[in-house]
Amino acid sequence: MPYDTLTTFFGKPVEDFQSGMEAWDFARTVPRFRIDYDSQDTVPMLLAAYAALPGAEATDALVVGAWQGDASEASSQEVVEALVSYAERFPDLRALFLGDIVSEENEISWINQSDLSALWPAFPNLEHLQVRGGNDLALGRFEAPRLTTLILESGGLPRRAVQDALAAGAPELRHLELWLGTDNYGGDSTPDDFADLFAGRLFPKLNTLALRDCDYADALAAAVAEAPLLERIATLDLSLGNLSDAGAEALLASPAVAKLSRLDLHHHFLTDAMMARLERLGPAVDLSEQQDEEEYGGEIYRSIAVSE
Amino acid sequence: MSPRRNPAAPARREPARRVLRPHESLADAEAGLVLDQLDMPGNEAARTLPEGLVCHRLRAPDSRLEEVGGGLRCRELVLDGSAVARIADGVRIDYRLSARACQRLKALPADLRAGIVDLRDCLALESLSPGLSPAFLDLEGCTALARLPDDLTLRGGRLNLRDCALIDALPSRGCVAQLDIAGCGRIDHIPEDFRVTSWIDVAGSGLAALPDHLAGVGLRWRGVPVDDRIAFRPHELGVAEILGERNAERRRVMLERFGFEAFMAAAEAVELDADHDPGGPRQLLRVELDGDEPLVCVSVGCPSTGRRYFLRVPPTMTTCHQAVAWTAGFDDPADYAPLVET
Repeated sequence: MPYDTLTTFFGKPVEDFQSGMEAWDFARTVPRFRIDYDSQDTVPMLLAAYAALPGAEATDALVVGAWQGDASEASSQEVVEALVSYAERFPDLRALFLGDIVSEENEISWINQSDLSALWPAFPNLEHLQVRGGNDLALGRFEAPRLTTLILESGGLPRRAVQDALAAGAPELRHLELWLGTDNYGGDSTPDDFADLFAGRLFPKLNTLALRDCDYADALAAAVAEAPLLERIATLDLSLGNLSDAGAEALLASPAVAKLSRLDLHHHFLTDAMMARLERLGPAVDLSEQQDEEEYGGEIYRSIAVSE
Repeated sequence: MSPRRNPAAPARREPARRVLRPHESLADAEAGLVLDQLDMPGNEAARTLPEGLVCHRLRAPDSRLEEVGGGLRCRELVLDGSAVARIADGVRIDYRLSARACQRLKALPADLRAGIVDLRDCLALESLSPGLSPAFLDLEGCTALARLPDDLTLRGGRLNLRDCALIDALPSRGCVAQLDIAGCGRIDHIPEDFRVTSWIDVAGSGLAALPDHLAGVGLRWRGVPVDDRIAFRPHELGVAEILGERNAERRRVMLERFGFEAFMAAAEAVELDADHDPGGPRQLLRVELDGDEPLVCVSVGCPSTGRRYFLRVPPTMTTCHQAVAWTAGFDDPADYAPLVET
């Protein structure tokens, strides 16, 4: 996972920008910059060619796809630096997807990201930032006055990136989505990292909290079930993780969970009986993709969704 | 998935690319040649470029190019490790100039507008030209560079001055996300109108504290995230706090900042060995560290100055003599028998 690149982003169709193109429909089409393993181009050079087109300053959304070419280890650093160095050509950039990379190109847990902190001052109008890949990801200390959506997809999100995201000056944030992953892929966060968030001290306008692909989903569910934050959000998403009946019991016992409008738990290890109890709880519950535990040498394994 | 054709996009123009072999010259190239890409890595034949060359991406690393001029216009110019001494006025680079380790490079063009300027390890570079306004400027290891131009404008990315020991001042204004002044012992303040949004690497700089206008900015010590006590007030750290630090890199920085000698005394180190040499008594000491290899240090006196030094050595060391031999580069202590120490 994931298997297909985006067809739409920020409400518009997405198309690859290719070298040699000498015009673009800036108002209607979002450009994606990506290269293949045998490409003569680089993503920064494609971006440079695009930025040189008259009218590029109308761009409000950009998608960066596979940047690594035949160098599978290449990080996003050069791409980030190119974006920042062309920031004056994109004064109205509102949405950025950094890493629209499918598993055929590079598995999510192999994607090497970098320090993205220079993006924030360069693009102060950013409303939507989506990043795929957690290796070496850092967001830095940042102020993002208009950010409403922050999505960090990974096979293992470093604690540093979790802390950066939660320390953000983002008063408009409505959708926070973190794929926490496993420590096999560098995910080293713990439930304690979310204490301030759960206590309701951060992000006054938050509406959707998605803590996905978590390999300590039961402990996380127990912590979030008691969170004062739940009183003021509509959607809780604990999908793609290794949630079992133990974590679900904690959710069932929480009056605040019962008052949510949506609870997304798809890809889980719940029993049929537990699923039936959750269905009656109140919120619209997504319980699809029930998984089976596996046993090797007497140990029970419950795999999170990103475990290629 | 078949992407929908962009109705506004005309048919693509086929990009013009040229590769020059190491012994091929550009002598036959006409003036005003237009290329998308010219690759000439390790080229030994060309010393200059043809007049009026337009080339979006020109890569000549490790080449014998001596001068880049002739009004070249490009987006990306890569000259790493080349013989280039001068990039002449009138050369236009939009996106990126990379000229790492160009040992002879002395002159850059005025009003260089590239967003990324990477001049790391250009040892002969003594000054930068006026009108420079990159987002990312990398001058790490430019040890001959004494000052930055007065009108240098930084557009939000990173300024890396690591180990530019001669530079004594930052630009009076500008904004970067990341600032690296590690090893810049003469930089002791950050001007009021110079903003840093994400982090500053302050290891071995002249900075004694963060100025008020940068309160809350992250601190690093040669790449390791630290807090302001580790960076500026290491004497406030406690032994228990250092031993309890989970992150091994950060703990190493804490140890280095606190001082090995003070730490060994406070942590009640175990003495592995003791003897005498011309500098006086020596000790080999060991402290266990949770989740990391033990800290083993040898304490020695300098015969000429009388000062005492604590040197960290590998944890496999068992005698003072072996440890001191290791610090002198000998793996086998039997090979280390100094006649005279100065």
